[in-house]
Amino acid sequence: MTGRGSDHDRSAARVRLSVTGLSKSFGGVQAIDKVTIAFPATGIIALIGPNGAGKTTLFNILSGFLAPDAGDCRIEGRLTIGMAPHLIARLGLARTFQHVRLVRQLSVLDNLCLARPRQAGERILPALTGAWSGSEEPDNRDFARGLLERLQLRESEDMPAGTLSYGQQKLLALGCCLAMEPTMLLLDEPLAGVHPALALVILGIMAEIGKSGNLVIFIEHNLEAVSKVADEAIIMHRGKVLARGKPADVLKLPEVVEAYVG
Amino acid sequence: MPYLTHLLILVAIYASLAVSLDLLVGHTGMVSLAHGAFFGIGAYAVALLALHFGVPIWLGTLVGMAAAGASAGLVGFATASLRDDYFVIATFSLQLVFTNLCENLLFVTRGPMGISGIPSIAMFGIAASQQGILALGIAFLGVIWVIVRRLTESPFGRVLHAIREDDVLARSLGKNDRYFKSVAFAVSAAAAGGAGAIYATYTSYIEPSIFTITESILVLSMVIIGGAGRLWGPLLGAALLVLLPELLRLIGLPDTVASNLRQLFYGAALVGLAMLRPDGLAGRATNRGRVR
Repeated sequence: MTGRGSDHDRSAARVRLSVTGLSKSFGGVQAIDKVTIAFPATGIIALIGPNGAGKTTLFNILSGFLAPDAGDCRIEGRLTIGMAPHLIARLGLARTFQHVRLVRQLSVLDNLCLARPRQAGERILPALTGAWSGSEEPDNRDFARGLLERLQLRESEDMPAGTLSYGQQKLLALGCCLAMEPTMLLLDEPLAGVHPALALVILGIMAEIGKSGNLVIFIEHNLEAVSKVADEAIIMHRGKVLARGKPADVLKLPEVVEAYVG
Repeated sequence: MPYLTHLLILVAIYASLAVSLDLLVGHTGMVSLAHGAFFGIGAYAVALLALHFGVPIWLGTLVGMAAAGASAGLVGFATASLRDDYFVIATFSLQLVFTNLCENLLFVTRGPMGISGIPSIAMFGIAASQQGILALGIAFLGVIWVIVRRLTESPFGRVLHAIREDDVLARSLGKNDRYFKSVAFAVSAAAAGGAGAIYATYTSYIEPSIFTITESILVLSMVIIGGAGRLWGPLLGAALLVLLPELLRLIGLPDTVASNLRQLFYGAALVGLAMLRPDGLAGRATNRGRVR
Protein backbone atom coordinates (compact mmCIF):
# COMPACT_ATOMS: atom_id res chain seq x y z
CA MET A 1 0.00 0.00 0.00
CA THR A 2 3.07 2.22 -0.08
CA GLY A 3 4.64 4.11 -2.94
CA ARG A 4 1.64 6.05 -4.16
CA GLY A 5 2.63 8.02 -7.21
CA SER A 6 2.21 11.73 -7.70
CA ASP A 7 -0.54 11.04 -10.26
CA HIS A 8 -2.52 9.40 -7.57
CA ASP A 9 -2.03 12.31 -5.22
CA ARG A 10 -3.16 14.81 -7.82
CA SER A 11 -6.35 12.96 -8.73
CA ALA A 12 -6.99 12.35 -5.06
CA ALA A 13 -6.98 16.09 -4.52
CA ARG A 14 -10.18 16.34 -6.56
CA VAL A 15 -13.30 15.98 -4.44
CA ARG A 16 -15.71 13.30 -5.64
CA LEU A 17 -18.05 13.04 -2.72
CA SER A 18 -18.68 15.55 0.04
CA VAL A 19 -20.96 16.36 2.93
CA THR A 20 -21.28 19.81 4.45
CA GLY A 21 -22.84 20.66 7.81
CA LEU A 22 -24.67 17.37 7.83
CA SER A 23 -26.97 16.64 10.81
CA LYS A 24 -29.38 13.85 11.56
CA SER A 25 -31.10 12.92 14.79
CA PHE A 26 -33.35 10.04 15.73
CA GLY A 27 -35.69 11.12 18.50
CA GLY A 28 -33.36 12.65 21.05
CA VAL A 29 -30.21 11.01 19.74
CA GLN A 30 -27.96 13.14 17.56
CA ALA A 31 -26.62 10.47 15.18
CA ILE A 32 -24.75 12.96 13.00
CA ASP A 33 -23.83 16.38 14.31
CA LYS A 34 -22.82 19.07 11.78
CA VAL A 35 -20.37 16.84 9.95
CA THR A 36 -18.31 18.20 7.06
CA ILE A 37 -16.14 15.78 5.09
CA ALA A 38 -14.69 15.99 1.58
CA PHE A 39 -13.77 12.60 0.14
CA PRO A 40 -11.10 12.49 -2.57
CA ALA A 41 -11.75 11.03 -6.02
CA THR A 42 -9.64 7.95 -5.44
CA GLY A 43 -8.23 5.99 -2.56
CA ILE A 44 -9.34 3.87 0.34
CA ILE A 45 -10.80 5.59 3.36
CA ALA A 46 -11.63 3.84 6.61
CA LEU A 47 -14.46 5.16 8.74
CA ILE A 48 -13.94 4.05 12.31
CA GLY A 49 -15.46 4.73 15.66
CA PRO A 50 -17.40 3.00 18.42
CA ASN A 51 -20.94 1.75 17.91
CA GLY A 52 -23.41 4.60 17.67
CA ALA A 53 -20.81 7.01 16.28
CA GLY A 54 -22.99 7.69 13.23
CA LYS A 55 -21.01 5.77 10.61
CA THR A 56 -23.86 3.73 9.17
CA THR A 57 -26.18 6.75 9.34
CA LEU A 58 -23.66 8.64 7.22
CA PHE A 59 -23.69 5.76 4.69
CA ASN A 60 -27.49 5.75 4.63
CA ILE A 61 -27.56 9.49 3.90
CA LEU A 62 -24.83 9.28 1.24
CA SER A 63 -26.72 6.50 -0.56
CA GLY A 64 -30.08 8.30 -0.34
CA PHE A 65 -31.86 5.91 2.02
CA LEU A 66 -32.11 8.56 4.74
CA ALA A 67 -32.78 12.28 4.44
CA PRO A 68 -30.65 14.47 6.71
CA ASP A 69 -32.20 17.09 8.99
CA ALA A 70 -29.76 19.68 7.73
CA GLY A 71 -26.76 19.97 5.48
CA ASP A 72 -25.61 19.18 1.99
CA CYS A 73 -24.45 16.07 0.26
CA ARG A 74 -22.80 16.26 -3.16
CA ILE A 75 -21.49 13.82 -5.73
CA GLU A 76 -19.16 15.42 -8.29
CA GLY A 77 -20.52 18.76 -7.17
CA ARG A 78 -24.10 17.69 -7.76
CA LEU A 79 -26.53 18.02 -4.85
CA THR A 80 -27.96 14.57 -4.02
CA ILE A 81 -30.21 15.43 -1.07
CA GLY A 82 -33.73 14.31 -1.97
CA MET A 83 -32.56 12.08 -4.80
CA ALA A 84 -33.92 8.52 -4.81
CA PRO A 85 -31.39 5.79 -3.92
CA HIS A 86 -31.58 4.20 -7.37
CA LEU A 87 -30.65 7.51 -9.02
CA ILE A 88 -27.71 7.99 -6.67
CA ALA A 89 -26.64 4.42 -7.50
CA ARG A 90 -26.69 5.36 -11.19
CA LEU A 91 -24.29 8.23 -10.44
CA GLY A 92 -21.74 5.53 -9.66
CA LEU A 93 -22.26 4.92 -5.95
CA ALA A 94 -22.58 1.33 -4.79
CA ARG A 95 -22.96 0.19 -1.21
CA THR A 96 -23.20 -2.92 0.93
CA PHE A 97 -25.20 -3.29 4.11
CA GLN A 98 -24.14 -4.31 7.58
CA HIS A 99 -26.53 -7.26 7.39
CA VAL A 100 -25.94 -8.98 4.08
CA ARG A 101 -28.62 -8.25 1.52
CA LEU A 102 -28.90 -10.60 -1.47
CA VAL A 103 -31.74 -12.12 -3.45
CA ARG A 104 -31.40 -15.37 -1.56
CA GLN A 105 -33.54 -17.48 -3.90
CA LEU A 106 -31.74 -16.38 -7.06
CA SER A 107 -28.55 -18.13 -8.10
CA VAL A 108 -25.17 -16.59 -7.34
CA LEU A 109 -24.72 -15.78 -11.03
CA ASP A 110 -28.18 -14.22 -11.30
CA ASN A 111 -27.48 -11.97 -8.31
CA LEU A 112 -24.50 -10.55 -10.16
CA CYS A 113 -26.39 -10.25 -13.47
CA LEU A 114 -29.20 -8.46 -11.64
CA ALA A 115 -26.74 -5.82 -10.50
CA ARG A 116 -25.49 -5.02 -14.02
CA PRO A 117 -26.44 -1.46 -14.97
CA ARG A 118 -28.50 -0.21 -17.94
CA GLN A 119 -30.07 -3.49 -19.05
CA ALA A 120 -32.45 -3.19 -22.00
CA GLY A 121 -34.10 -6.44 -20.86
CA GLU A 122 -35.38 -4.65 -17.77
CA ARG A 123 -37.73 -2.58 -19.91
CA ILE A 124 -41.10 -4.01 -20.70
CA LEU A 125 -41.00 -4.21 -24.51
CA PRO A 126 -37.53 -5.75 -24.90
CA ALA A 127 -38.46 -8.15 -22.09
CA LEU A 128 -41.51 -9.26 -24.09
CA THR A 129 -39.76 -9.55 -27.43
CA GLY A 130 -36.76 -11.35 -25.91
CA ALA A 131 -34.33 -8.83 -27.41
CA TRP A 132 -32.19 -9.12 -24.27
CA SER A 133 -31.28 -12.75 -24.83
CA GLY A 134 -29.23 -12.02 -27.96
CA SER A 135 -26.03 -10.41 -26.74
CA GLU A 136 -26.88 -8.42 -23.62
CA GLU A 137 -27.51 -11.30 -21.25
CA PRO A 138 -24.56 -13.44 -22.48
CA ASP A 139 -22.29 -10.41 -22.07
CA ASN A 140 -23.56 -9.84 -18.56
CA ARG A 141 -23.07 -13.52 -17.73
CA ASP A 142 -19.50 -13.37 -19.00
CA PHE A 143 -18.85 -10.28 -16.91
CA ALA A 144 -20.39 -11.99 -13.89
CA ARG A 145 -18.31 -15.13 -14.39
CA GLY A 146 -15.19 -12.98 -14.54
CA LEU A 147 -16.19 -11.46 -11.20
CA LEU A 148 -16.84 -14.90 -9.70
CA GLU A 149 -13.31 -15.84 -10.68
CA ARG A 150 -11.95 -12.87 -8.74
CA LEU A 151 -14.25 -13.62 -5.80
CA GLN A 152 -13.25 -17.29 -5.88
CA LEU A 153 -16.92 -18.28 -6.06
CA ARG A 154 -16.87 -19.80 -9.53
CA GLU A 155 -17.90 -23.30 -8.35
CA SER A 156 -20.98 -21.91 -6.62
CA GLU A 157 -22.43 -19.98 -9.56
CA ASP A 158 -25.62 -22.06 -9.86
CA MET A 159 -26.32 -22.30 -6.12
CA PRO A 160 -29.03 -20.13 -4.59
CA ALA A 161 -27.28 -17.20 -2.94
CA GLY A 162 -28.94 -18.03 0.39
CA THR A 163 -27.11 -21.35 0.64
CA LEU A 164 -23.63 -19.77 0.67
CA SER A 165 -21.70 -19.42 3.92
CA TYR A 166 -21.95 -16.05 5.65
CA GLY A 167 -18.51 -14.97 4.48
CA GLN A 168 -19.24 -16.02 0.92
CA GLN A 169 -22.50 -14.08 1.03
CA LYS A 170 -20.57 -10.96 2.05
CA LEU A 171 -18.17 -11.62 -0.78
CA LEU A 172 -21.08 -11.96 -3.21
CA ALA A 173 -22.67 -8.73 -1.93
CA LEU A 174 -19.35 -7.02 -2.64
CA GLY A 175 -19.43 -8.68 -6.08
CA CYS A 176 -22.89 -7.25 -6.76
CA CYS A 177 -21.48 -3.79 -6.09
CA LEU A 178 -18.59 -4.45 -8.47
CA ALA A 179 -21.02 -5.66 -11.14
CA MET A 180 -22.45 -2.13 -11.09
CA GLU A 181 -18.98 -0.83 -12.08
CA PRO A 182 -19.13 1.96 -9.51
CA THR A 183 -16.72 4.81 -9.00
CA MET A 184 -17.67 5.10 -5.32
CA LEU A 185 -17.91 2.03 -3.14
CA LEU A 186 -19.34 2.18 0.38
CA LEU A 187 -18.72 -0.98 2.42
CA ASP A 188 -20.38 -1.38 5.81
CA GLU A 189 -18.19 -3.69 7.90
CA PRO A 190 -17.00 -5.83 4.98
CA LEU A 191 -14.87 -8.06 7.21
CA ALA A 192 -17.11 -8.60 10.25
CA GLY A 193 -17.83 -12.28 10.78
CA VAL A 194 -15.76 -13.33 7.78
CA HIS A 195 -13.26 -16.20 7.82
CA PRO A 196 -9.66 -14.84 7.73
CA ALA A 197 -8.94 -16.46 4.37
CA LEU A 198 -12.00 -14.81 2.81
CA ALA A 199 -11.12 -11.54 4.54
CA LEU A 200 -7.85 -11.55 2.61
CA VAL A 201 -9.76 -11.91 -0.66
CA ILE A 202 -12.01 -9.00 0.30
CA LEU A 203 -9.06 -6.80 1.32
CA GLY A 204 -7.31 -7.65 -1.95
CA ILE A 205 -10.33 -6.61 -3.99
CA MET A 206 -10.74 -3.39 -2.00
CA ALA A 207 -7.10 -2.49 -2.66
CA GLU A 208 -7.55 -3.24 -6.36
CA ILE A 209 -10.64 -1.04 -6.65
CA GLY A 210 -9.10 1.81 -4.67
CA LYS A 211 -5.99 1.80 -6.86
CA SER A 212 -7.82 1.82 -10.17
CA GLY A 213 -9.11 5.35 -9.83
CA ASN A 214 -12.11 4.75 -7.58
CA LEU A 215 -13.10 5.79 -4.10
CA VAL A 216 -13.62 3.12 -1.46
CA ILE A 217 -15.02 4.08 1.94
CA PHE A 218 -15.38 1.32 4.48
CA ILE A 219 -16.62 1.05 8.03
CA GLU A 220 -14.49 -1.30 10.06
CA HIS A 221 -13.72 -2.26 13.64
CA ASN A 222 -10.73 -4.39 12.76
CA LEU A 223 -7.98 -1.77 13.21
CA GLU A 224 -5.29 -4.09 11.92
CA ALA A 225 -7.12 -4.36 8.58
CA VAL A 226 -7.61 -0.60 8.59
CA SER A 227 -3.91 0.13 8.92
CA LYS A 228 -3.19 -2.47 6.25
CA VAL A 229 -5.34 -1.16 3.38
CA ALA A 230 -6.57 2.33 4.21
CA ASP A 231 -4.89 5.42 2.76
CA GLU A 232 -6.69 7.51 5.31
CA ALA A 233 -8.76 6.96 8.42
CA ILE A 234 -11.62 9.12 9.66
CA ILE A 235 -12.53 8.68 13.29
CA MET A 236 -16.13 9.39 14.26
CA HIS A 237 -17.47 9.67 17.77
CA ARG A 238 -20.97 10.67 18.90
CA GLY A 239 -21.87 12.01 15.49
CA LYS A 240 -18.78 14.15 15.03
CA VAL A 241 -15.50 13.73 13.20
CA LEU A 242 -12.85 13.33 15.86
CA ALA A 243 -9.76 13.03 13.69
CA ARG A 244 -8.63 12.35 10.14
CA GLY A 245 -5.26 11.34 8.77
CA LYS A 246 -2.92 8.46 8.02
CA PRO A 247 -4.15 5.38 9.91
CA ALA A 248 -0.84 4.91 11.73
CA ASP A 249 -0.93 8.48 13.10
CA VAL A 250 -4.63 8.74 13.80
CA LEU A 251 -5.00 5.49 15.71
CA LYS A 252 -2.35 6.63 18.19
CA LEU A 253 -4.10 9.86 19.16
CA PRO A 254 -5.02 9.85 22.87
CA GLU A 255 -8.63 10.98 22.23
CA VAL A 256 -9.08 8.10 19.77
CA VAL A 257 -7.75 5.57 22.25
CA GLU A 258 -10.03 7.07 24.86
CA ALA A 259 -13.09 6.98 22.59
CA TYR A 260 -12.47 3.34 21.83
CA VAL A 261 -11.41 2.10 25.23
CA GLY A 262 -13.28 4.53 27.44
CA MET B 1 -72.26 -30.65 -23.24
CA PRO B 2 -73.16 -26.94 -23.21
CA TYR B 3 -72.85 -27.16 -19.43
CA LEU B 4 -69.32 -28.58 -19.66
CA THR B 5 -68.35 -25.97 -22.26
CA HIS B 6 -69.76 -23.30 -19.96
CA LEU B 7 -67.59 -24.54 -17.09
CA LEU B 8 -64.50 -24.62 -19.29
CA ILE B 9 -65.14 -21.04 -20.42
CA LEU B 10 -65.33 -20.00 -16.77
CA VAL B 11 -62.11 -21.89 -16.04
CA ALA B 12 -60.38 -20.08 -18.90
CA ILE B 13 -61.60 -16.67 -17.69
CA TYR B 14 -60.67 -17.29 -14.05
CA ALA B 15 -57.35 -18.84 -15.02
CA SER B 16 -56.55 -15.65 -16.97
CA LEU B 17 -57.38 -13.66 -13.86
CA ALA B 18 -55.29 -15.90 -11.61
CA VAL B 19 -52.28 -16.07 -13.95
CA SER B 20 -52.25 -12.28 -14.30
CA LEU B 21 -52.68 -11.72 -10.56
CA ASP B 22 -49.76 -14.07 -9.94
CA LEU B 23 -47.47 -11.65 -11.78
CA LEU B 24 -48.11 -9.36 -8.82
CA VAL B 25 -48.58 -11.75 -5.90
CA GLY B 26 -46.15 -14.51 -6.78
CA HIS B 27 -43.46 -12.67 -8.68
CA THR B 28 -43.43 -9.12 -7.31
CA GLY B 29 -44.68 -9.81 -3.78
CA MET B 30 -47.55 -7.31 -4.10
CA VAL B 31 -50.77 -8.80 -2.72
CA SER B 32 -53.61 -7.03 -4.51
CA LEU B 33 -57.27 -7.16 -3.54
CA ALA B 34 -58.38 -5.08 -6.50
CA HIS B 35 -58.36 -7.70 -9.24
CA GLY B 36 -62.15 -7.89 -9.15
CA ALA B 37 -62.29 -4.16 -9.87
CA PHE B 38 -60.03 -4.41 -12.94
CA PHE B 39 -62.08 -7.42 -14.09
CA GLY B 40 -65.11 -5.12 -13.77
CA ILE B 41 -63.52 -2.16 -15.54
CA GLY B 42 -62.98 -4.33 -18.63
CA ALA B 43 -66.51 -5.72 -18.45
CA TYR B 44 -68.22 -2.33 -18.01
CA ALA B 45 -66.03 -0.71 -20.67
CA VAL B 46 -66.92 -3.22 -23.35
CA ALA B 47 -70.61 -3.25 -22.39
CA LEU B 48 -71.08 0.53 -22.25
CA LEU B 49 -69.09 1.21 -25.40
CA ALA B 50 -71.00 -1.43 -27.36
CA LEU B 51 -74.47 -0.45 -26.14
CA HIS B 52 -74.15 3.35 -26.20
CA PHE B 53 -71.68 3.97 -28.99
CA GLY B 54 -71.84 0.83 -31.09
CA VAL B 55 -68.13 0.27 -30.64
CA PRO B 56 -67.10 -3.17 -31.91
CA ILE B 57 -66.40 -5.73 -29.21
CA TRP B 58 -62.73 -6.17 -30.08
CA LEU B 59 -62.12 -2.44 -29.87
CA GLY B 60 -64.13 -2.17 -26.66
CA THR B 61 -62.03 -4.98 -25.21
CA LEU B 62 -58.81 -3.14 -26.04
CA VAL B 63 -60.20 0.08 -24.54
CA GLY B 64 -61.24 -1.84 -21.40
CA MET B 65 -57.78 -3.35 -21.08
CA ALA B 66 -56.17 0.04 -21.57
CA ALA B 67 -58.49 1.62 -18.99
CA ALA B 68 -57.79 -1.10 -16.42
CA GLY B 69 -54.07 -0.96 -17.14
CA ALA B 70 -53.89 2.82 -16.97
CA SER B 71 -55.80 3.07 -13.70
CA ALA B 72 -53.61 0.36 -12.17
CA GLY B 73 -50.48 2.07 -13.45
CA LEU B 74 -51.53 5.31 -11.77
CA VAL B 75 -52.49 3.61 -8.52
CA GLY B 76 -49.29 1.55 -8.66
CA PHE B 77 -47.20 4.67 -9.10
CA ALA B 78 -48.95 6.36 -6.17
CA THR B 79 -48.76 3.36 -3.84
CA ALA B 80 -45.33 2.02 -4.83
CA SER B 81 -43.81 3.16 -1.56
CA LEU B 82 -46.39 1.21 0.47
CA ARG B 83 -45.11 -2.09 1.76
CA ASP B 84 -46.87 -5.39 2.30
CA ASP B 85 -50.06 -4.96 4.29
CA TYR B 86 -50.33 -1.25 3.51
CA PHE B 87 -50.46 -2.06 -0.18
CA VAL B 88 -53.15 -4.66 0.54
CA ILE B 89 -55.20 -1.99 2.31
CA ALA B 90 -54.75 0.46 -0.59
CA THR B 91 -55.96 -2.08 -3.15
CA PHE B 92 -58.80 -3.10 -0.85
CA SER B 93 -59.92 0.54 -0.78
CA LEU B 94 -59.66 0.77 -4.54
CA GLN B 95 -61.89 -2.29 -4.81
CA LEU B 96 -64.48 -0.72 -2.47
CA VAL B 97 -64.42 2.54 -4.43
CA PHE B 98 -65.03 0.67 -7.67
CA THR B 99 -67.94 -1.32 -6.22
CA ASN B 100 -69.47 1.87 -4.85
CA LEU B 101 -69.16 3.65 -8.17
CA CYS B 102 -70.81 0.72 -9.96
CA GLU B 103 -73.68 0.69 -7.51
CA ASN B 104 -74.25 4.42 -7.37
CA LEU B 105 -73.32 5.94 -10.72
CA LEU B 106 -76.81 5.05 -11.92
CA PHE B 107 -76.70 7.10 -15.12
CA VAL B 108 -73.65 5.17 -16.27
CA THR B 109 -73.85 1.69 -14.79
CA ARG B 110 -77.58 1.50 -13.97
CA GLY B 111 -76.48 0.50 -10.48
CA PRO B 112 -77.69 -2.80 -9.06
CA MET B 113 -80.07 -3.24 -12.00
CA GLY B 114 -77.05 -4.09 -14.06
CA ILE B 115 -76.55 -3.92 -17.79
CA SER B 116 -78.21 -6.51 -19.98
CA GLY B 117 -78.25 -7.19 -23.70
CA ILE B 118 -74.51 -6.90 -24.13
CA PRO B 119 -73.85 -8.08 -27.69
CA SER B 120 -71.80 -11.22 -27.97
CA ILE B 121 -68.64 -11.58 -29.96
CA ALA B 122 -69.42 -11.78 -33.65
CA MET B 123 -67.37 -12.51 -36.71
CA PHE B 124 -68.60 -11.28 -40.09
CA GLY B 125 -71.95 -10.59 -38.51
CA ILE B 126 -72.40 -14.09 -37.11
CA ALA B 127 -72.46 -14.41 -33.32
CA ALA B 128 -69.79 -16.75 -32.01
CA SER B 129 -70.94 -20.17 -30.85
CA GLN B 130 -70.27 -21.32 -27.31
CA GLN B 131 -67.37 -23.37 -28.65
CA GLY B 132 -66.09 -20.28 -30.41
CA ILE B 133 -66.09 -18.35 -27.16
CA LEU B 134 -64.32 -21.22 -25.42
CA ALA B 135 -61.64 -21.16 -28.12
CA LEU B 136 -61.33 -17.40 -27.68
CA GLY B 137 -61.10 -17.75 -23.89
CA ILE B 138 -58.39 -20.37 -24.17
CA ALA B 139 -56.51 -18.27 -26.73
CA PHE B 140 -56.69 -15.25 -24.42
CA LEU B 141 -55.46 -17.36 -21.51
CA GLY B 142 -52.62 -18.59 -23.72
CA VAL B 143 -51.56 -15.05 -24.58
CA ILE B 144 -51.63 -13.95 -20.93
CA TRP B 145 -49.70 -17.06 -19.93
CA VAL B 146 -46.99 -16.42 -22.54
CA ILE B 147 -46.72 -12.73 -21.59
CA VAL B 148 -46.37 -13.50 -17.89
CA ARG B 149 -43.79 -16.21 -18.58
CA ARG B 150 -41.75 -14.05 -20.93
CA LEU B 151 -41.74 -11.21 -18.42
CA THR B 152 -40.87 -13.33 -15.40
CA GLU B 153 -38.06 -15.18 -17.18
CA SER B 154 -36.43 -11.97 -18.47
CA PRO B 155 -34.15 -9.48 -16.69
CA PHE B 156 -37.39 -7.54 -16.02
CA GLY B 157 -38.66 -10.52 -14.04
CA ARG B 158 -35.33 -10.85 -12.26
CA VAL B 159 -35.83 -7.34 -10.91
CA LEU B 160 -39.42 -8.19 -9.90
CA HIS B 161 -38.07 -11.15 -7.93
CA ALA B 162 -35.44 -8.94 -6.32
CA ILE B 163 -38.15 -6.45 -5.30
CA ARG B 164 -40.22 -9.30 -3.86
CA GLU B 165 -37.29 -10.48 -1.75
CA ASP B 166 -35.76 -7.14 -0.76
CA ASP B 167 -36.77 -3.82 -2.29
CA VAL B 168 -34.07 -1.94 -0.37
CA LEU B 169 -31.45 -4.09 -2.08
CA ALA B 170 -33.10 -3.52 -5.47
CA ARG B 171 -32.95 0.24 -4.99
CA SER B 172 -29.33 0.12 -3.85
CA LEU B 173 -28.54 -1.72 -7.11
CA GLY B 174 -29.99 1.17 -9.12
CA LYS B 175 -33.41 -0.33 -9.84
CA ASN B 176 -36.38 2.03 -9.86
CA ASP B 177 -38.81 -0.12 -7.87
CA ARG B 178 -41.65 2.32 -8.49
CA TYR B 179 -41.35 1.78 -12.25
CA PHE B 180 -41.25 -1.99 -11.96
CA LYS B 181 -44.18 -2.16 -9.52
CA SER B 182 -46.33 0.18 -11.63
CA VAL B 183 -45.63 -1.72 -14.84
CA ALA B 184 -46.31 -5.10 -13.24
CA PHE B 185 -49.54 -3.74 -11.75
CA ALA B 186 -50.63 -2.24 -15.10
CA VAL B 187 -49.92 -5.41 -17.11
CA SER B 188 -51.72 -7.53 -14.54
CA ALA B 189 -54.76 -5.23 -14.47
CA ALA B 190 -54.95 -4.95 -18.27
CA ALA B 191 -55.11 -8.74 -18.47
CA ALA B 192 -57.90 -8.76 -15.88
CA GLY B 193 -59.74 -6.13 -17.93
CA GLY B 194 -59.52 -8.37 -20.99
CA ALA B 195 -60.91 -11.28 -19.02
CA GLY B 196 -63.76 -9.01 -17.87
CA ALA B 197 -64.59 -8.07 -21.45
CA ILE B 198 -64.79 -11.72 -22.48
CA TYR B 199 -66.96 -12.44 -19.44
CA ALA B 200 -69.36 -9.59 -20.24
CA THR B 201 -69.86 -10.51 -23.87
CA TYR B 202 -70.24 -14.18 -22.97
CA THR B 203 -72.89 -13.76 -20.27
CA SER B 204 -74.43 -10.65 -21.93
CA TYR B 205 -75.35 -9.35 -18.47
CA ILE B 206 -73.24 -7.67 -15.77
CA GLU B 207 -74.03 -6.09 -12.42
CA PRO B 208 -71.91 -4.68 -9.58
CA SER B 209 -72.11 -7.74 -7.33
CA ILE B 210 -70.06 -9.77 -9.83
CA PHE B 211 -67.00 -7.55 -9.38
CA THR B 212 -66.79 -7.13 -5.62
CA ILE B 213 -64.16 -7.83 -3.00
CA THR B 214 -65.46 -11.42 -2.87
CA GLU B 215 -64.31 -11.83 -6.45
CA SER B 216 -60.91 -10.37 -5.62
CA ILE B 217 -60.54 -12.75 -2.69
CA LEU B 218 -61.64 -15.68 -4.85
CA VAL B 219 -58.95 -14.96 -7.46
CA LEU B 220 -56.34 -14.41 -4.74
CA SER B 221 -57.34 -17.77 -3.21
CA MET B 222 -56.83 -19.41 -6.60
CA VAL B 223 -53.30 -18.04 -6.76
CA ILE B 224 -52.40 -18.99 -3.20
CA ILE B 225 -54.07 -22.41 -3.17
CA GLY B 226 -52.58 -23.25 -6.57
CA GLY B 227 -49.14 -21.94 -5.65
CA ALA B 228 -48.03 -18.33 -5.99
CA GLY B 229 -45.06 -17.80 -8.29
CA ARG B 230 -45.23 -21.41 -9.54
CA LEU B 231 -45.56 -22.24 -13.22
CA TRP B 232 -48.80 -24.22 -13.03
CA GLY B 233 -50.01 -22.91 -9.67
CA PRO B 234 -52.59 -20.28 -10.70
CA LEU B 235 -53.99 -22.53 -13.47
CA LEU B 236 -54.43 -25.38 -11.04
CA GLY B 237 -55.99 -23.11 -8.43
CA ALA B 238 -58.43 -21.60 -10.92
CA ALA B 239 -59.54 -24.99 -12.26
CA LEU B 240 -59.98 -26.33 -8.74
CA LEU B 241 -61.97 -23.40 -7.34
CA VAL B 242 -64.23 -23.14 -10.41
CA LEU B 243 -64.96 -26.85 -10.73
CA LEU B 244 -65.19 -27.83 -7.06
CA PRO B 245 -68.45 -25.96 -6.28
CA GLU B 246 -69.96 -27.59 -9.38
CA LEU B 247 -68.94 -31.00 -8.05
CA LEU B 248 -70.65 -30.18 -4.78
CA ARG B 249 -73.74 -29.34 -6.80
CA LEU B 250 -73.55 -32.64 -8.68
CA ILE B 251 -73.59 -34.51 -5.38
CA GLY B 252 -77.10 -33.13 -5.09
CA LEU B 253 -76.72 -30.72 -2.22
CA PRO B 254 -79.11 -27.79 -2.31
CA ASP B 255 -77.51 -24.52 -3.45
CA THR B 256 -77.79 -22.88 -0.05
CA VAL B 257 -75.82 -25.67 1.59
CA ALA B 258 -73.36 -25.94 -1.28
CA SER B 259 -72.42 -22.27 -1.22
CA ASN B 260 -71.80 -22.40 2.52
CA LEU B 261 -69.78 -25.55 2.06
CA ARG B 262 -67.71 -23.69 -0.50
CA GLN B 263 -66.82 -21.02 2.03
CA LEU B 264 -65.95 -23.73 4.53
CA PHE B 265 -63.79 -25.41 1.95
CA TYR B 266 -61.82 -22.23 1.17
CA GLY B 267 -61.07 -21.70 4.83
CA ALA B 268 -60.08 -25.30 5.42
CA ALA B 269 -58.03 -25.42 2.22
CA LEU B 270 -56.11 -22.26 3.12
CA VAL B 271 -55.38 -23.45 6.67
CA GLY B 272 -54.46 -26.92 5.46
CA LEU B 273 -52.17 -25.54 2.76
CA ALA B 274 -50.46 -23.19 5.17
CA MET B 275 -49.60 -26.20 7.28
CA LEU B 276 -48.82 -28.84 4.66
CA ARG B 277 -47.92 -27.07 1.43
CA PRO B 278 -47.04 -23.46 2.19
CA ASP B 279 -45.95 -22.95 -1.42
CA GLY B 280 -49.35 -24.05 -2.77
CA LEU B 281 -50.43 -27.20 -4.57
CA ALA B 282 -47.84 -26.71 -7.29
CA GLY B 283 -45.13 -25.92 -4.73
CA ARG B 284 -42.85 -28.08 -2.67
CA ALA B 285 -44.42 -30.94 -0.75
CA THR B 286 -43.82 -29.97 2.85
CA ASN B 287 -42.34 -27.38 5.08
CA ARG B 288 -40.92 -29.93 7.49
CA GLY B 289 -37.20 -29.89 8.02
CA ARG B 290 -36.79 -26.69 6.06
CA VAL B 291 -34.01 -24.59 7.46
CA ARG B 292 -34.87 -20.98 7.92
